[in-house]
Amino acid sequence: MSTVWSCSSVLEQTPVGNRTDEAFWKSEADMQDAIAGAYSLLASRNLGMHDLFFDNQSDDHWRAGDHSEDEDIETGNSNTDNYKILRTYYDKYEMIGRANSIIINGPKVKDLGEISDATYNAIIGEAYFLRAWAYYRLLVIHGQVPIILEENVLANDYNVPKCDSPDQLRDLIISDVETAIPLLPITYEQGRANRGAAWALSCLIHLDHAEDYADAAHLNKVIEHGELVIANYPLAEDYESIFRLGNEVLPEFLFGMMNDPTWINGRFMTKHRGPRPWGMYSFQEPLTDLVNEFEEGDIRKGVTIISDGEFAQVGPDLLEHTSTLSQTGHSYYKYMSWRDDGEMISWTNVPILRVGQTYMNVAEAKIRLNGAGAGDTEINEIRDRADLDPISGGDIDALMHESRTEEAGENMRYQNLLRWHKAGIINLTTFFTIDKMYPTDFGRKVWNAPKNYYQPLPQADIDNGNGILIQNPAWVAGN
Amino acid sequence: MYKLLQRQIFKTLKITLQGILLQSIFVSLLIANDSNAQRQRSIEEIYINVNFENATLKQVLNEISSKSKLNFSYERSNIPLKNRITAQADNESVANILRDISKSANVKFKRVNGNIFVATLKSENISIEEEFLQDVDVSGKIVDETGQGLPGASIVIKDTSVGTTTDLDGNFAFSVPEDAILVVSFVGYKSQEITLNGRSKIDVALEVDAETLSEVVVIGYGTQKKSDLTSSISQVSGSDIERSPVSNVAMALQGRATGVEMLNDGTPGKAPNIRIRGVGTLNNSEPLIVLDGVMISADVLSKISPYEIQSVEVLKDAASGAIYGTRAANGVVLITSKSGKYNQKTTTRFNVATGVNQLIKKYPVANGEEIFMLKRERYTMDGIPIVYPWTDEYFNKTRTDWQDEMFRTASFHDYNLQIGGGNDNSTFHASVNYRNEEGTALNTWYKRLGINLKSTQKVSKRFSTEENIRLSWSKDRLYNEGDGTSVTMYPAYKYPPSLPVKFDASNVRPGQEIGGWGSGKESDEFGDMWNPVYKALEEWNYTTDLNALINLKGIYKVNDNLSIVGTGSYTHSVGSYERFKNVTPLQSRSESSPNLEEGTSVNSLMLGELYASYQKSSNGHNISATAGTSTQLVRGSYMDMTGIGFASTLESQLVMNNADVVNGRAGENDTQGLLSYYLRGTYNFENKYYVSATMRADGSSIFAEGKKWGYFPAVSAGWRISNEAFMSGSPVISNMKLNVGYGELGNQNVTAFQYLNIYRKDRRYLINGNPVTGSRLGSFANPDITWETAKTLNILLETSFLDDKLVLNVAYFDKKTSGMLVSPVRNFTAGNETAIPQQNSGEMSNKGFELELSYGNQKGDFGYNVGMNATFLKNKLLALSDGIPYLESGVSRTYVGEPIASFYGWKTAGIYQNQSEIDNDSNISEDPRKGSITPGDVIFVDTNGDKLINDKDRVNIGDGNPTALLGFYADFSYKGFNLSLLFSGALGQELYDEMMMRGINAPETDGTDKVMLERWTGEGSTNKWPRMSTTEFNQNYRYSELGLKSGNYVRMKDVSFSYRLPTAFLDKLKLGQSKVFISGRNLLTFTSFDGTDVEETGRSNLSRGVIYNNYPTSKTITLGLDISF
Repeated sequence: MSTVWSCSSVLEQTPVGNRTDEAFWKSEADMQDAIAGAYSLLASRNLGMHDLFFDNQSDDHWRAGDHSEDEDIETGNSNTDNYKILRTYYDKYEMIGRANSIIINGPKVKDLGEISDATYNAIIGEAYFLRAWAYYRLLVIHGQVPIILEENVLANDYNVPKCDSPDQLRDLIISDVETAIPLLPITYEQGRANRGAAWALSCLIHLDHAEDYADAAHLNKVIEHGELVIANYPLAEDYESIFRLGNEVLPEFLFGMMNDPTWINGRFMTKHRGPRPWGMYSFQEPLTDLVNEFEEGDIRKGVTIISDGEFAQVGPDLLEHTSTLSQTGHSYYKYMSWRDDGEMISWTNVPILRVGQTYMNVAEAKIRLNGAGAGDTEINEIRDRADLDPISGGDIDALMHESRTEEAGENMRYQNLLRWHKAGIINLTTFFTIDKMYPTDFGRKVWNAPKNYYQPLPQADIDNGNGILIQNPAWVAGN
Repeated sequence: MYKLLQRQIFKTLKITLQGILLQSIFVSLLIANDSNAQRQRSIEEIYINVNFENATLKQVLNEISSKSKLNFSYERSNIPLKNRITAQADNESVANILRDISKSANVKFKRVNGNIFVATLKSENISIEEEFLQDVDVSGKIVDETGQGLPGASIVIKDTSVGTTTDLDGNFAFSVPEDAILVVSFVGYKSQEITLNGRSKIDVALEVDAETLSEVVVIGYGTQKKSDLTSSISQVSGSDIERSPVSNVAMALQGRATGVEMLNDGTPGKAPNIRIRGVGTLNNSEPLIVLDGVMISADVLSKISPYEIQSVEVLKDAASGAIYGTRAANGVVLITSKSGKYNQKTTTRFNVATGVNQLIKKYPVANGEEIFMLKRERYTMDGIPIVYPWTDEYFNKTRTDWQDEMFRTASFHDYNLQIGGGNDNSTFHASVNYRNEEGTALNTWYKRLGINLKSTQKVSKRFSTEENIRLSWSKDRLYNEGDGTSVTMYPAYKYPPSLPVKFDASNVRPGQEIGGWGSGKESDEFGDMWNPVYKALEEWNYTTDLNALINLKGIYKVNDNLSIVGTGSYTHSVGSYERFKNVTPLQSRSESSPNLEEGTSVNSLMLGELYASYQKSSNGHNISATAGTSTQLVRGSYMDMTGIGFASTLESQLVMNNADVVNGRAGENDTQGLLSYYLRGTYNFENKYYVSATMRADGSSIFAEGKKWGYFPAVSAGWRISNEAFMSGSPVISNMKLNVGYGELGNQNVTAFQYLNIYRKDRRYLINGNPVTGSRLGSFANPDITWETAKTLNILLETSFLDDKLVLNVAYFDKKTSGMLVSPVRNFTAGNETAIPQQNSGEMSNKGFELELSYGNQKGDFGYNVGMNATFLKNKLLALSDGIPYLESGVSRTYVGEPIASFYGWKTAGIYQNQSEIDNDSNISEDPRKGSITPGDVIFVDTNGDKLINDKDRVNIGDGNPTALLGFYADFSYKGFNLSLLFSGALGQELYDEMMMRGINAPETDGTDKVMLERWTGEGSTNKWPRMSTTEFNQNYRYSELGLKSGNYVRMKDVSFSYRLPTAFLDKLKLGQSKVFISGRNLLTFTSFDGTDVEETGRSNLSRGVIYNNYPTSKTITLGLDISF
């Protein structure tokens, strides 16, 4: 029989349906495939849902749901092997890896002359942007993590120590964002990061970097890039439209998680909170403290939260929010909508970076640099859209109030609180009063600086690092 | 097959010999006497005339016989038949005539009833004796070990030459003296002596005589006499396998084949995972399975009915497995199916069996009232207010026992039809089997249809062919077990008993409907669980498999010593599935839309083999050699579709075309090619000294150039000590043989192309409103990857005592797997999706002993055979890889120096009874959690002395690997009755009861196990189980000794009682050998384990011994009828 199949034909097989180094990185299509692969992580359970559970540390909502690892995060008592810590961590590195791959291999395609400069630049810009965004989320959650760049990939060296300080990570993120800004188009295809996204991310990272109350270098950068966002991307006229189906057409929508009804796994953010009997997963119930933050007449309240006695239009029916639906009497209503036949639309896109947030960033930077009233313009544009009267002489407290209502339920609150704590505006050690937590968490919730600035690194990677990766000392059991 | 063939040749020979040669040469008259007229009259009173002059003795005796109606019996060689004598008598008594003859021919006569026995006259004076015995008519049937009638078997009255032979169906009838002892014999079988004891009906099953027949063992590319083996091969015969009322052949091996372990659960129709002599690798540790020379998958294995099996051989060591080279490291299972026999009357055999399956036992859960009380206690213990739903008395009630609802007494039916036969030049064997089995879990089932055709032809004197076509179809319905907690089996145990199966007017909840399925949706305190009855009835998961195997073989005998064999085979299998999940708006978290998944995979295997076998014996030198080449190609493709959103969820409307959105994926698997050359030589001198050597070279397409070829040598030698002069003639020891073997085997059962960077296009995203599929690096490259090598030393001492009645075999094995492919440590900084290629860096050791002891004997009608086998195993991981401290899977950790999948957790020391115990516990004096620990929490032990409890205090607290596997069997037969028992067991294994640990996790929603009724409720209440609480600061339910239980057990695996129907009755019905039987499986278990089931230890090597909510194993009672005609 060996004469029928010669040796070579039997033993010389090649992979079917998948490409090797020899066959990939040959064309524009390959680069488009690769960048789509990098974006696709946004639609994962880990980045599309679990990453949002870190805002459980804030005072906006309590965890609800039945997951003890959420309780640990919420009360400041994470175990190092908390699986949400691990999964959100490694999916960000997966995104970083795909971005690195494009940054390394993209030039090969360019050298072949198989891609136009404009397309090439945009994709490289997106790669830098996604890398920056992933590191930014790692920074917000962990403070210090290992930095994996092109040279690590080429040397196949992933077992590296964490960076020396959060600042080192911030500098990397700023560098990547600066690289991305000129490469990214002002307007781009829906679902792809445009230059506005890079500017907005720049605002966030510089704001995070400004640990002193009036850190001029970083706050000026926030204002510079924030004003470019404001100049180029108008606010949506209708606040609600940002959080309902079709939001991807809004210029305000800079960067987000794109959803699609054909995906099973891309639906988590829109489904994980909200009353269980209405078809959602009942995580994260707003606290009355957040509801009370909304001023009378603020249209954002009804968009963001539904409370006992209020009604939701579910298909043809009006459903009343009743007291058994949530422990707090409130449920989030952002990202929630139903089809006319009553089927829940769980494929609403979820904005991650949007212009409204940038207004708040710019206002904060101006107030911190130039004092009360400096941010009135930005605050009042936002208030105007919310159908609220303008303010004047708005101070940092007014900004914090406005920001809490504008960004409620958008996974921003805890990083804002932490920043304000570091800048000496509030003191988180005493901040969490009983009103700002779920009653049964009282006595359990702890917040100690600097330990609770950040979550621990995942134990699995500490273990796998075999001594190279060191846990944040505050999170080593016994410290 | 070969064994049977050989036996058939003997049988054929025997018939011929018996019928013609034996009767005419050795025994003059071996026919039933029918001389009733004369039999009670003395020869002194029978008068005849004779008139011979110078005639031969034979002529004279013939004449007397014809006139007196008495038969003469004599041994031809002893009697001077050709002597000339003269005998003349006129109306003289036969007695006197014989007295005359006695003198002239020097012979003596003894008359017994109708027979006159002739013998040489020695010194005796008595030349004539006469004896009258009461004659009785005796009839019966002689069958072989498979129940087939034996034609031509002889039944002789002991110490005489009087007797008869059986007809073509094995039946006989004749008259014998009432005190006669009958000797039943047939070439190749052990003779039996039967005392009549007043019976007129005698059915005898003859046993194969190993000594005379030289049992033959299938060894891969050939057969070998069992006595010539120098390696460790377990053989299980088809007749033993038939005694297990199981759905597939693999399940019947448990307890029968030494060193072979089965990992199984109760899923209907599922073949178990097979482990031979322990777990040899971290990778796929399934043995190579070869059916009639063709490699098959475990899937195909599950389609083979036990009734189709001629024999199963398990190759356990390197010397036996090396002929299969790079695929034999985990052992080889050779399955031989039944064939027709040359010159065999067409025989039809029909089996029908029906029976029931039941849960072995229910799992203990708390009832509704108990759970209500326990849940409320969590809050009171914590000193916080009780919250809804535990404030609602509705839930303080037991409405449903979910296990009663979900598990049932399930029935099954099994039909097997076999027709086989042959003439001088061809044989055929056809079988059809059908099985329809309900699972014990509600609404699950398994159906299977198999058709198998085998035939052989002698095309010419030298050339013969064999053909085999095997088709099988199966379909099952199981639960659509999704991710996470969206499952059915788990809530079957743990769904809240306060909820009804369906709501009625008396118990409907707000937001639910009367007649709607019971639902815990109103509170997440009821967990992420769906009503399991709803899941079982309204959703489904069908799997359908169709397998076709075609195997052609040509054998050319160049001469008596050399033959050349060529085979070509093609296996084609199509597997498909259809799964449906409905929208569940009234259940727990709902699915967004109805969801239908369908898919098909197609796999094929092409195999070509060409080999030559040479055999020669002379002057005590016996040599044999086999050399050949093999080429194999495996291809596959798949297609999967998901349909989301259906306007109608009627089953008839659930087709892909009706879905709002259809997602699909399809592709081809990488083709894998294998090219091999093999050589085996054996030599023995005077059946005393044996040596055997094997070499295989395998080239594999899955590794890089330069790494493709591997070479697998093995040598073994045997010494039959009992044939040495100093041992021969031992009255006790009938056989003693020492065998030693050493060799290397390979395992290439790993992902292909790990030597390349692979980009996969399989990630979707929405860009500009359009779904696009993105690419990613799917795997990194390791250019050096190659197969694992297992080096095995095997020492086997075979001994038999007391004419082989007592057999004792002892084996020692030492198997070391090196270059074991280990997935290197993943730094998650490299992400989690890109596969990291394996490295040949691990080492694992498996050492152990095997012991087989059996004793069999036949005493009159009573025969018995009892035996036991034991396998003692020790597994140890010797190396993983640089930088990899361990592999972890839940509580199980695999690390160097310890057995695979050791339980790694905290030691415990009871429960803190009061605050001062906490305050004074030096174990936790530095523990920051100290302030949060409360009385009722578990005391964990600070094993490293740093005064606090953290991950560094985890230690090896046991493992789930058995140190001993046990099997006991006993067969008893008496007349037509047969009782057969089989026990299997394991010792030294510990189990981690994850199912229970989840169930006692008070803060979690599913903390509902019965054991929580024994929780700590206050100082002195208990020192074992922790308190109820809504918090878990102390992580009372972390991996610890709390979840550890002994997994020792002995289980009556099979018990079977059969009765062979009386021949007379069967004759009336024109039926052949037939029997009825009743058998039971898993009816008795001896164990202290109190979880779901002690055998449900999971199939995964890296989390062995962790008890979870698998499909529960069941016990079975089967009633069957087995008819031949």
